[in-house]
Formats: sequence, C-alpha cells, structure tokens
Amino acid sequence: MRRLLITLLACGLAASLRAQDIMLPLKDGSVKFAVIGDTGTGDNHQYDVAKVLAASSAKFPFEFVLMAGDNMYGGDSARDYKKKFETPYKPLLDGGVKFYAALGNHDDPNQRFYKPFNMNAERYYTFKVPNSSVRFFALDSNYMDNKQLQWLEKELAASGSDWKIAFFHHPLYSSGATHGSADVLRTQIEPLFVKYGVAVVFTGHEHFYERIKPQRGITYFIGGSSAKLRTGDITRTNLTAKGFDTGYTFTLVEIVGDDLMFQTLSQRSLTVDSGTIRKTDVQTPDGPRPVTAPTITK
Amino acid sequence: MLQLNRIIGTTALICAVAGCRGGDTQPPVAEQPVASVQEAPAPPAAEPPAPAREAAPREAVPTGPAPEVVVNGVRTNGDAAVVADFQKRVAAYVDVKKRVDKNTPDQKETRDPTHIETTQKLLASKIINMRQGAQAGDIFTPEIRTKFRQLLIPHVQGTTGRETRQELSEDFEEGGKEAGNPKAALRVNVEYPEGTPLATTPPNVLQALPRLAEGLEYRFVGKNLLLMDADAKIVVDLMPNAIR
Repeated sequence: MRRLLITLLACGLAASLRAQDIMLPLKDGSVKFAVIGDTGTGDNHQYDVAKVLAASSAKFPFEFVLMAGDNMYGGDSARDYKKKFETPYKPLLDGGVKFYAALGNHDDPNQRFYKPFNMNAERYYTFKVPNSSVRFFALDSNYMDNKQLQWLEKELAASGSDWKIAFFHHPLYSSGATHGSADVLRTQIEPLFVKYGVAVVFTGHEHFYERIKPQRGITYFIGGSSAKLRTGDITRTNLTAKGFDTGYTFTLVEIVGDDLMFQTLSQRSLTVDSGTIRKTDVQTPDGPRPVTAPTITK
Repeated sequence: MLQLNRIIGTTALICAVAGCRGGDTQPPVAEQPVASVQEAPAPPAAEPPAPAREAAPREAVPTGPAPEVVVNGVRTNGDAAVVADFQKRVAAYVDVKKRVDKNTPDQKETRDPTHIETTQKLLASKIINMRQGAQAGDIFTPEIRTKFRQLLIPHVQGTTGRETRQELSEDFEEGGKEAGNPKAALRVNVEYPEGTPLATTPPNVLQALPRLAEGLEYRFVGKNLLLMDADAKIVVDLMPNAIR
C-alpha cells in the first residue's frame, strides 16, 4: 500500500516536472540507491531537490538513500528534524525508502540515535545490501581517531563483498575554492581504501557536484549541493572529470554485477553527469589483491 | 594504577613526539582512468574572532628533552609526568560523569528527536550542576598547556602544518547563520552553542595528543582547544591559543 502511495505521488510529481531521461539500465534485481549531501537547510532548495528525487523514484525505484553529512544545519531540535528531514523526504519515507546518514561538521553526533538515519547508534558503521555483494562504510570524517581507523581496517579486511563503497562528509580530493581537498584525512584513510579495494567514495561538504578522475583506482564523487550551492566555486584543476556548480544536484546509482552506473540530476531534472564504473581486479607485485580499478564508460 | 597511567602517558608522549602518524601528504595525482572515458554529453544547461575568556600569555614553548622530575617518589621524565597528570584530571571528570550517568536514562535509538534532545540536556545539566565552580585550566593546567602546544607544533607550523591549520579553521569561515556562535563555546562547564558547527579535528592532531576516554573529544574553535564531552555536548575545559 505504501509502495503504491509513493508511486502515485511520484508519478504526479514527475508529470509536473520536465521529462526526466533516466538512462540507468533499470534492471530487475539490481542494487539501486540515491546519494544526497549537505541537505539540512529546510529551505526551498532542499524541498525542490527532494521533489525531483521523489519523482525520479517512479522510474528508478531506489531502495535507499545515502546522506553525505550536514543533515541538519543550524540546530537539532525536534522541529528541525521535521523541517529539514521528515517533511521534505516524506514521500520517500512513506514509501519505505531507507536513509543512511553520515555525520557532517554541522551535525550533532547525537543524530546517530535518530532511528530514520539508520546509524545503529554509531558515528561510523557498515551495512550490506541484502542478497547482494555490495557493502557500504559510513565514516565520521569529523573525528578520524585511531579507534575509527582500526575499526575501518578491521571491517574492510573482513568484508568479502565485491563492491566496497565508502561515504562520509569531507572530500579527499576536491577542486573547490572554499574548502579543497582534505589532505590530512587522505593520508590516513586512502591507504586503507586502496589496500582493501574500495572502488567508489561519495562525499559532500563542497556545495557543488564534482566527479574526480580516478585516483589510485578509486572514483570519488562530491555532492554537497542537494540544498546548498556555491556557484562558481570549482576551480580549474587537473582533478576534475566532471564539475557542475551552477545548480543543485543528487545522484542515482545502480549496480549490476561488476558495473556501477551513475546519473546525476539537477533540481531542474536535467542530467548533469552519467557513466559507468567497471570494477576489475588488479594484480600487484605482491600477488593478486582485492583492489578494484574503475573504468568509466558511457 | 599510577604506574600504568605513567606507562600509557609515556607511550603516548613518545608516540606523539616521534610523530606516529601516517605518511606525508601526497599531492593528488591527475590519474587517467584505466580505460578510455566516454562521458555523457554536457548538460544544457575568516575565521571569526574567537576571544578567549582569559588572556593567554605568550608562553615560550620549550623544545628538547624534559628534565627528570620525581612523582610520588619515582624519578621520571617530566613530560610523562605532565601527561600522567592530564590523564588523572580527565579520569576525575569521567568519575563525575559516571556518577551522574547512573541516574540518567541512556541514549538509545528512537524515532522521536525530542527524546534525544531531552536526554542530552538532562545529562548536561546534571554534569554542569555537579561541576559548579569549574574553571578554565582545571584540566589544562599551565604545565599541560605548555606540553600540548609543544606536541602540536610539528603539526601546525610551517608548510606541513598549513593544511592542518586550514582544516582547523575552515569550518568557521563559512559565515552567516551556518557559523552559529563559536565565541559562546569559549566558556567552561556550559553547553556547546546549538547550531555552531564542530570544527573537524584532523587525524594527525588526534594522534599527537594523549588519548581520551570514551565520550570525550578534542575540538577546536579557531586556535582554541576544547575538551568536549560529546555525549552531554558540554565544554569540559578549554585551552586558549593552543596553536599560533
């Protein structure tokens, strides 16, 4: 019944928006999810993106949404939770779509106790999509202490998943003029990503969309523009595979076997970026390692 | 126990001074994809002033090995004694929190955000009440401040430290309503101001400083170091001008 409701609502929204051209394979049985970041403003921009996101679920029925932090700007009262999360995403929540949150620098760590964020009361956590070989690692990039690093290594090492995907707030690579790359954080966690074969990383913090050229075999996405926008903030660097800093965005993702397809849409329902990341095993001088090397094709 | 603390303190100190951290920052690589890239077509389409409550003296930060001191009749390295003293003071705070915690409901997962806020504020108010009279420097004593500045120097000075300094300050440079009121955080035994972002504490800084008990965190407001209780969201102690 709830599924039907969300489908009806989403269909209505879709009809009122410009026609979307969702190009993902849309295969039955694939892993489908969406990624949003820096959402918690409670303003019209957040609501506009949320509407397009809900509308897209009619054609692309994703089961869950990753939140890359800054889920709640300017306060964490019950009213804030309602205005900045429950109301804008109500159609999706009512339809049974789950949200998995990471903490941003604007977030109270006690958000981990908020059940709809599915953090299991932990600041960092991992979950596997049922009946799939896809595992996610949600990190707290605000406070990467030894305890978290040890946890991350242990969980990555124990994961037998084919796809290991991390999401957190601060981008390890960025062309943003305001923040830029989190270099210090990168020295700590990227070696673990490489060693244990993390293929894709989703982050926020920068209020624009950027897909970084693969770095050490990992594709990094920045998507902190699901409610906030810093127009013209992307500087010219040799990191950018695709940049978009003139509109609000969210990203749809579908995983089929060794292929991860992505499509990033603007609040006007236009396609900003899309492609496929192909996972391949890499041979090293030390022998085969579970490192994935992404290939991006149309 | 004191011996254990001393060993832990010494280990932490040696580790910090020796620079037990990851490799040096590597420049990003403009790596090309493994295979050809065919992308989809293009679409049509200052740090605020953070005055401390107390004027921080421009202390000289000593370098080199610390002199030996005698603690409880045991001859020891002065640095280790300072860190052990810090840990003892932190442990005293943890004891206060445990006593309060016994009579306070635990946070647990809930769909009701009011419950989260109420539980946090109840814990905070009880701790604040128990620590009436707490002052800046109760934990960060002058000796500990000097030692902490010494530990932080390699990570925040020069070219290597530039990234760290930037990460410590940038969260307060966003301006407007987002920045909240970081100045209000510069008081001891009060709740961290609601809506004020928590500056990211870089991992190298965390590794340089002595480890903390569960629930306690090092956080920066500008150049000022806070000892925060993350569960209660209160400022346990502060250290002005921890970095310069």
